[in-house]
Amino acid sequence: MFEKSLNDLIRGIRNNKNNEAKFVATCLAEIKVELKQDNIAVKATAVAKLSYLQMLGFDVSWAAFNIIEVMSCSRFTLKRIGYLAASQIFRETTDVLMLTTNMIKKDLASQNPFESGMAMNGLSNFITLDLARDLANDIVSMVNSSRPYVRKKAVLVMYKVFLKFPEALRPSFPRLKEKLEDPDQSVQSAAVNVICELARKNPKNYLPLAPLFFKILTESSNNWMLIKIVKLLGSLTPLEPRLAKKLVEPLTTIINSTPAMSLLYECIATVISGMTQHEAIVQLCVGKLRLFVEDNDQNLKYLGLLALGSILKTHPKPVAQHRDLVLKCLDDKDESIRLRALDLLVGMATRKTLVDVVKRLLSHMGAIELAPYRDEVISRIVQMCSQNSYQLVTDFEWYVSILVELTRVQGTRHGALIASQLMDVAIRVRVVRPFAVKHMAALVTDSHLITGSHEKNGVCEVLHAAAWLCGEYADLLLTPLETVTAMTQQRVSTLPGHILSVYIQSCVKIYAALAGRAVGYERPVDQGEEEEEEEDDDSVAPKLEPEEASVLVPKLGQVLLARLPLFVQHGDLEVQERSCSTLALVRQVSAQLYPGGSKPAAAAKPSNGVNLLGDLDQDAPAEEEEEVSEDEVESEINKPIALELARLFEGEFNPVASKAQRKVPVPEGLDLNAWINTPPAPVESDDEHDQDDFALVKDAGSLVGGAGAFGSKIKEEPLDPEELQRRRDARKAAESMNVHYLKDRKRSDTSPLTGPNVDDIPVAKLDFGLKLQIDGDDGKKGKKGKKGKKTAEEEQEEAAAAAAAARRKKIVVKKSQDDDDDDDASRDRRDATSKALDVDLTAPLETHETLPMQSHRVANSSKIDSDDGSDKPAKGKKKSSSSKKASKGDASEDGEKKKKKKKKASADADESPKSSKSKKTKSSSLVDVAASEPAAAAAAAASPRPKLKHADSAASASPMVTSVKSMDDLNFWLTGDANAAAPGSPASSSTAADDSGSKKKKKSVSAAPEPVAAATPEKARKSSKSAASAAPPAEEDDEDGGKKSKKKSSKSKSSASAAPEAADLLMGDPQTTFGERKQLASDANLGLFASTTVSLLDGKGVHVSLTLDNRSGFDMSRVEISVLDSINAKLERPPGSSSGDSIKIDATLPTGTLYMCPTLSFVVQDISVAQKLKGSVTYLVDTAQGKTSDKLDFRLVLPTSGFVVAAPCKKSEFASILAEGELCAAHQHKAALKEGVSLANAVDIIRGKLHLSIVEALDVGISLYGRTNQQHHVCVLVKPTSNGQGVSVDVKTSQPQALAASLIEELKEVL
Amino acid sequence: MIRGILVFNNHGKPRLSKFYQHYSEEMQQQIIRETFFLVSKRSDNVCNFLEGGTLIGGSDSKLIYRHYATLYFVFCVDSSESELGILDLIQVFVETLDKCFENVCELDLIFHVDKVHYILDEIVMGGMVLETNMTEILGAIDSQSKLEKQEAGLMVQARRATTTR
Repeated sequence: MFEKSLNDLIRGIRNNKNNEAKFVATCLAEIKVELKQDNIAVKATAVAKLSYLQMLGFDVSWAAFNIIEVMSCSRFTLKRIGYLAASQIFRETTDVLMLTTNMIKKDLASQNPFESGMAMNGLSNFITLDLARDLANDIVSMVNSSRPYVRKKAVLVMYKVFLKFPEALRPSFPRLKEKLEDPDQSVQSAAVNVICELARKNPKNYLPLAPLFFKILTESSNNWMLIKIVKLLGSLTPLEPRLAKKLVEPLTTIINSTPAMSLLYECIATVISGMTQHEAIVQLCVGKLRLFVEDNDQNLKYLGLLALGSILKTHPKPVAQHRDLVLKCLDDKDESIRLRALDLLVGMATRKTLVDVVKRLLSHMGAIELAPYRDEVISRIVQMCSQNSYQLVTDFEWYVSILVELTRVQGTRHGALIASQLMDVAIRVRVVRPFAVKHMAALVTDSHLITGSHEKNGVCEVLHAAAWLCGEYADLLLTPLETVTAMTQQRVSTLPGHILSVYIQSCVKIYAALAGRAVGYERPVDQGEEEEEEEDDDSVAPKLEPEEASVLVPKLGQVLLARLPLFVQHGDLEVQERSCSTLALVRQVSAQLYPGGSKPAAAAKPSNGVNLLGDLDQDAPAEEEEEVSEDEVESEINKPIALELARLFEGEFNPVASKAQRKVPVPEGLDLNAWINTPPAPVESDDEHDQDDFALVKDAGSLVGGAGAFGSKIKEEPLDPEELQRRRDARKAAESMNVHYLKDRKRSDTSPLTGPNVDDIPVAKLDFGLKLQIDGDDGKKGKKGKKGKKTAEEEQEEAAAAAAAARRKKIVVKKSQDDDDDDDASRDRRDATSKALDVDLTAPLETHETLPMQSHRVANSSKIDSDDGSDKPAKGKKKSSSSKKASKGDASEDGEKKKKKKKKASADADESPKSSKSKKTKSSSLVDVAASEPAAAAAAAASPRPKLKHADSAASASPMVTSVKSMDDLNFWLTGDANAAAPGSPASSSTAADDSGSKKKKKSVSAAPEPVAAATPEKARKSSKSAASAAPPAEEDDEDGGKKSKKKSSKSKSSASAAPEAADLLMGDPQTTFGERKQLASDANLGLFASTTVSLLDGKGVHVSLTLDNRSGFDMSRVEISVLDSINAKLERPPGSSSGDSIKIDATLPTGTLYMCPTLSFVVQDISVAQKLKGSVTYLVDTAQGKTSDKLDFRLVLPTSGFVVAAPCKKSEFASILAEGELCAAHQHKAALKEGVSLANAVDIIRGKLHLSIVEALDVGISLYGRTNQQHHVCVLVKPTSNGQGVSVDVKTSQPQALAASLIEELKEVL
Repeated sequence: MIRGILVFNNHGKPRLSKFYQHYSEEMQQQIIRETFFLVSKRSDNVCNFLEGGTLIGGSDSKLIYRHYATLYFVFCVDSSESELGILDLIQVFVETLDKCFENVCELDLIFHVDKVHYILDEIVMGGMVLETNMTEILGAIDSQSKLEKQEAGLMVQARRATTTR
């Protein structure tokens, strides 16, 4: 009992301030000893101390196991210490966490609510995927606990479960939804909290719940929850404008009545985010915000400004009224408030107010002490004036003077910014140049800018612009001598090199301009602007008279000659070089300018010059004066030399839009990719040396000739292909005749002109003309692709996008951009969780969608991935709800469906009630799907036109009817894991749905985006069998077809089945093909479902996952599955078992559950024929009367197409596959298109059936590609027949012959 | 979501740190230091919101804090939380502490950091607001301390029983 308590530790640390590290080290050593003791109380104390040390920054994760020991203690007090330590210390990677599953399970189930609360609290901190999966069921069941204390914690921890284990979201969502109406406020609030977080990630999925939120909004009085609800609605309003309209009234009420500022503020924020089209409420908000800003509370002031800033984007006018208020905020002592006010001012400035505001800011700046904030103000001023290409600036002279004024701000770091602004303005705005140059000259002579040149990006950067402008527009410089003198004075050399080099260059420019001026040379200006320019120049821009200039030239030369040597040895190389060459140039020129050598007459010196010299004298040191002796100044200027000098810097910079180059049309006939000359022949060997020389000589000659020819070509009329061909032939002939030309075969390969004729490649002819609903953006992409920039992945995406409906376009485009952008990879990873949580919550629960039971994990853990994988397309295809099961059977036999259509339709009708019933019992026993589903569906179907108000009932009905949208989301979720989501695929099915929906009864589904929930029952109403045929999934063809016409059924099927394929492609995971989940067999007790998976990666295998559905009403045990091997297909059995052995399932199957059997892998030798395997399931039903055993036989059909995987293929690859002649097996099938089925639909059907990816789609034909898991190529060309009524399908495969044949056979069934 | 809750004194000494997403111990200390640096230079009459914490949360997050006597209570939250709401929540937290410790002062937080954690766990769980009603919070805490006392009493009895025998 000598251990230190936690208090002792804390006290000890406080008493050992100077020696803390040593003290803690000894404590840690003691703790390690204590942890080894058996006494759990001692251990707990040690753990408590550890969690304290953790807060101080010590890594104590080594004690993880001991923490778990303490957590498992039965005493509440100690357990709590353990859980606290765990939640502080454990992280997802803590490996001992996997030991805790059962302990936490036990604690969750504890009778003591605080113990289970503690466990949930701990879980919320350290939950892992494994814990989430294993405990999801327990947590969800606790949501219905009788104690609100437990309920609220369970609700919150559910969110953490979803984050780790997104699969849990759908099954448990109904529970969560119920909690929105929990009688206990805290629980309700927690549920709102969770849904708010979920909706923030994927708002659109929660749109159907809007009526419920609305109800809470209007009924609740709990401000905490109202804040959340308002926030939640705020995230939904941008998606649904009508919701915004609906919200106007209650929000107005709240805004006007609530005393809680926090709620008021959230309401305003919501209005800003999505309701800006409702003027009245926006006005109200702006009014309220004024109160915020006027408030004495700094927090409210800050938020008010923040919100005003957001409103400003959409409603500048009402905000602008409060300019005075905002300006007042500039004087606030709180910097964050000042910054917000600045932000606002920038947005509020208009043409009229700009000058005032800037003036205000400038005066404001004088009062500022902190340099960073001052800089912030400068950047805002510049930002304000320069926004939208100086839209607000009316007077550029004013702006230049403001910029000049800004340079006088002490210690600014925005020198470069001001410099770039000065240059930008002076270059863009011609009229401002004289003014600007005047000021720049002043800046250059101003000495204060040079000080502080050591600072990086300091104000001296402005000199860069000043000097450059003085040089560039030297014509306008009135005091060149002064300027040049200033630019070459001694202290200038402290400036950074890049500025100094501009100085020197500018000096030459000025010198040249002056020389030109002296001989009356005018700088040429652009055509078109010349006239205007003339006037401007004469009236506005005063220039030096030639006489004055001619006097100044020699002086200037002298100054340069005298001072430039200063820089010749400057540290900066650029400065050195420029000064050297300038010096040399000036020396040369000044010698030649006055060749006469006659002395100037003293009288020729005008008074002006004297003044200038006087100025110069003040600036320049005495030494210069000696050198600039007047007797060297000469009177007669050498005009040609002066002109030449002036022309050195001829030409003017004009502003050019960044995209201007693109607008320059390519001259006709100019092909930049074509060889100007045929490339030189490769050197073959040494002994042909002589010939090589010839060739080189020849090449040099032809280069010149070629350039000439090229030049003339441009002017020529566009060449038609024949002409081109003729020339090509002529040139070839000439080459072959020419002895100097090397004639080797290799060259023909390297030169595209002489290479194999491109036209011969069949694919190259194809063109994207097909009506595949490609929107503008996609079209552009298509063009790009033709330029050869496109990758295979993009191509596939495009193919899928082509099938996509319009309303998904944006996402498609966005996605493709994401793919282009590598930087987005990391963001995608971050978004992975939110994507995984993007699931449709209105869709009915699939039978397999249950929370995993721990007992199931024995089978699941190893194969959960493959199960998921195989389920994906199944879910994608399954759209029906109640009749799903019945139709599953149909889908598996869709080959025969045509013949037996009518028969089957009736069979369906018989079967569906039964199966839907069984499903219902199941689901209620499992996860409580709203029990009133059928009733609700019926109600929704009966209601005349459900509006948003009714969407409540509609929302609850939608699980039954399965909205089209919900399927989209589901698909989205399914593909979400792979990051490259596939929005295209679900959309295609939705189009199909819309099509068939509108065709069924010539009543169009309203084109406007109806709220999903509302739209769905409408559709449901249309079909006579209410929910049964609401959605047009593949499985319902027969029923549909039976009632309606054949064509519709096949069409909707095709699109629906094509969708998952497209999804696969988009996922960027072309390696796997999933078969649909089919019902293999069923009897009164048992349903057996199977889905197959084929992967390119493992050669011959096909994986079948079987799901058993216990419908017997009793537990089922001793389940054995046996499959008879055929010659071709063998089941892979565990080592040591013989070929006849069956697969035993150890677990007992509770009634009403689905059981996923371990995946069966089959090795299939020859895939060219469909494999038919017989098998049976034997089982024991434990009825109350006793055990009865039974047997269910099934036939597992593995069609050839099941082995084909849609692999990506580029056009070029496709062409080479065709060209290589590997494809020996070819079969053709012609089929007439049914009425209403377009070529595109047919292609979808084929792709859906055979799992192919689109290589290229053109009017004349669509090429498709796939690969079998044994690496056979499958190339398919689909062409419209000449009469336009049918399609011809060519299937070419590599070995064996039968492969193509059986694929064609399969196609015959669907076409 | 609340990403983290920090309590430190005027000198930046941590009194409570709760992170709702994982950071290494070193990072946690850095966050505390940075937050202290940002918060401590602000005078008391400026607003309680702060953008620009770089280490925790990122661009989406805000620091919302209150300064009581010697202690700073800082909540780092993302955009799904209401700024004023969190300010109220801090108030609730502090008032609860005040009730539980009877005139709470820094020393209470120093020596009973575990208890402060238990109190906080009744208000915020896993980064989400669990309970804002003070009676509820206090009720839960009281019941737990009763449970604690009960157990302690049992232990004493048991020990007596063993010693007397």
